[in-house]
Amino acid sequence: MIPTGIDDKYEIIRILQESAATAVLLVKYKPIGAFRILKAIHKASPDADSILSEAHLLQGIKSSQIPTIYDVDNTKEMIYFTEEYVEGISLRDYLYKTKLQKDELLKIAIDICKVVECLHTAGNDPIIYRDMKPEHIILQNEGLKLIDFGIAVRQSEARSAKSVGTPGWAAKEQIEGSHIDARCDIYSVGKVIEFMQENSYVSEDIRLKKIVAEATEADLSKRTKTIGEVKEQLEALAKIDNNNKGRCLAKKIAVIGADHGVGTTHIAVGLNRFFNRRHIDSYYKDIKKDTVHRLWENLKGARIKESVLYHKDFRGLLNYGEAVEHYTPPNGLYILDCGTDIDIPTDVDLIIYVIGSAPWNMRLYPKWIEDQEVLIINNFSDKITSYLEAKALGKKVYRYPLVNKRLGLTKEEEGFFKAIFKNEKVFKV
Amino acid sequence: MKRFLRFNNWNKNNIIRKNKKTIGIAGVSSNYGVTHISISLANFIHSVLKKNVTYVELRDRSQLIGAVGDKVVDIAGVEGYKYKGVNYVCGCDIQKAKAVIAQANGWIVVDVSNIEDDSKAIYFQCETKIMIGSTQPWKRKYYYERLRTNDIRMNLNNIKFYDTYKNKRKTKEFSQITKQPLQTLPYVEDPFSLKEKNFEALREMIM
Repeated sequence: MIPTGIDDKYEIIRILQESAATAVLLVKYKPIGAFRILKAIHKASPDADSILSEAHLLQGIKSSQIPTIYDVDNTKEMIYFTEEYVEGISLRDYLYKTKLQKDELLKIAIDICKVVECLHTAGNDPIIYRDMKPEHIILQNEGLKLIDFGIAVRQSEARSAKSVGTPGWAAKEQIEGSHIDARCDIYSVGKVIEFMQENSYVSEDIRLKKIVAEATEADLSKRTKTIGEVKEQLEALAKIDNNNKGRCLAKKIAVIGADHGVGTTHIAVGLNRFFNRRHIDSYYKDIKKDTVHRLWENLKGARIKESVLYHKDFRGLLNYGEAVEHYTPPNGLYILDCGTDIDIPTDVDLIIYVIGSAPWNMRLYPKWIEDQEVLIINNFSDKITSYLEAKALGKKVYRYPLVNKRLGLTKEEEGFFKAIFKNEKVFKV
Repeated sequence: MKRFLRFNNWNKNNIIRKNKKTIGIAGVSSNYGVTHISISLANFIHSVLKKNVTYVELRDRSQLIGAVGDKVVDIAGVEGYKYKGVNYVCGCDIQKAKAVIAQANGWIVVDVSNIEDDSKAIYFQCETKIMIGSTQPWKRKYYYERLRTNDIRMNLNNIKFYDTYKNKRKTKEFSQITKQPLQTLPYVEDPFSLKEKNFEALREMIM
C-alpha cells in the first residue's frame, strides 16, 4: 500500500517496508527538508488502532534513546504517524564488520539496559518492549537508539496482547503468551548481550557469561528480577575493568571449595591475615554462612567496630540482620568465602579454587577453573598428588602447606601466599 | 551401651534441643522497661547472633501487635507474627506460652513483665533468668520486698539482677545484702534498630 494524500507535506524518498494494508516509508518533510519515518496503516485493517497505540506509547516516554514522534494524522484511507529518522548502523550490521572489545561491549550493554529501564519505569504502567534484537538497536556516534515499537505493550494490557516475538530472541513465555512482564525484556537483553559476547574478544569471560545465564534463565522465578539489576552487574564489571586497566587494582577475591572439608574457610581466613599483615586492608566475608558471627562468639579479645570484627590480623565483615542500624562497608580488598558454591559472584577479580586430595573428595570440577583468573590450591596433599592434579587439569596447582594451627598464620602459610602473590601490592585499594 | 547401640542418643530432637535456650525477663513490678529490653534481646539474638528466636509476651493484652503484627505466621501451632526476622507470640496466657516454649525451636525470650502466681512457673523454668528493678531511693523497697519472697530467695544464685539506675554506692549496698552482683541495664535507644555500643552488654545478659 503506497499512502496517498500526504504529498503536500511529505516527499517519499524510499519504501522501507510494504504490505497490503501497511507501509513504512522514509520521507522528507517538505517545510524544513528533514528526513522522517512515516508509518501508515489502512483504516479498514483490523489492526488500524495498533498504529495509534504505538504512537501513544512513544509519546509517553522521555528518553533520547527512543525516536521522537512528530505527527499523528489521517487521510481518507489511512492513519499514519511520523517519527524521527534514526541514522546509524544496526548492532547486527556492526557485529558483521567488527569484533567487540570488552569495554565497548559493556558500554553498549549498559546503554541497552538504560533504555529498557526507561521503558520499564515509564509512568505507573510499565512498557514491555517485546522485540529486542540486534536489528532494532541502532548505534550512533554517541550512544544508541532503540527502534520499532510495533509490538510493545503496556503492562496492564499484556494479558490481552497477542503472543508475538522473534524466536531465538524472545522468551519462551512471551512466544507462548503464557506470561508477559518486564522479565520478557530481560531475557531478550540477555540474548543480545550473549550475541555480542560471541562476537567479541571476551567470549570466554565467566563473569559476563554468568550475567547472561541469570538474565536468560528459563525459570521465571530464577531469572534476574529487574533490568536495573542487570545494569548494576554490568556497571560493576565495567568498574573492575577500568580499575584494572589504570592502576591494576583489585578488590575482591573469591575462595571456593571443590568439596566440603577441603579447608576453604581456613585458606580464606589465612589469606585475609596475610594481606592485613602486609598492610593491605583486607576483609573476610562469608557469603553463605555466619562464620564471622561465630568467631565473635568464640574468639577471646575480638572487638567490633562498624560491622567489622577485629582480632589480631583478622578482619571479618559481620552480616547483621534487619534490626541493627546500617553501617557503610569499609573500602579494601574483600576475601569472599563462597564455601562450595560454584555460583560465583560476577564482580570478583580473582578466584581461588580449593581442591582436596582425599580419595573421597569430589573430582568433578567446573569448566571455568581453566580461566586464567582462577588459581587452584590443593590442600592436604603431597607433591605427587598435586603434580598429578596439575597434569590432569593442564594447569598449575599450588600445594598448600600442612599446618596444625587452627587460627593465626604460620610462617609456611605466609611464605606460600607470598609466593603466589608475588606482586601483592596490585591488590591494594 | 545397649541404648547407644539402639541410636537413642542420635534422635534428631535431641540435637535440636541443644540449640534451644529460654530466657525469662521479669520486672520487680510494672514499668521497668521489661518489654523494651526483651525486644532488644530478641532482635540482638536474631540479627547479631544469627539464631532463630521467638519472643513470647506473657500478658493478657498485647502492647506489641501494632508494632510487629504485619505478617502473620504459624509458630509451633500458635498464631504469631514475624517482624525483622523475630517470631512474636503476643498476648499469651500461661497455657499458650507453655505450648510455645515446649514446641518452638531456637531461642525463646519470655517477657514475663511482672511475676505473679501463675507466671512464676514459666519464669523459674527458664535457663537464664533476668530481673529488673531500681535502687533509686523511692523504688528500692520494691526490689528488696521482691527479693524476700520465697521463690526468689531460693533461686538467688540463678538470677541475674539489673538496675535501671546507675549508682555505685547502691549497687555495692545491694551486693552486700543479697550477696549477688547488681548490673546496670544497658540503655537501648531503639530495640528495632540496635547499635554496636549495646552489643557487649546485651551479650552479657544472655550468656
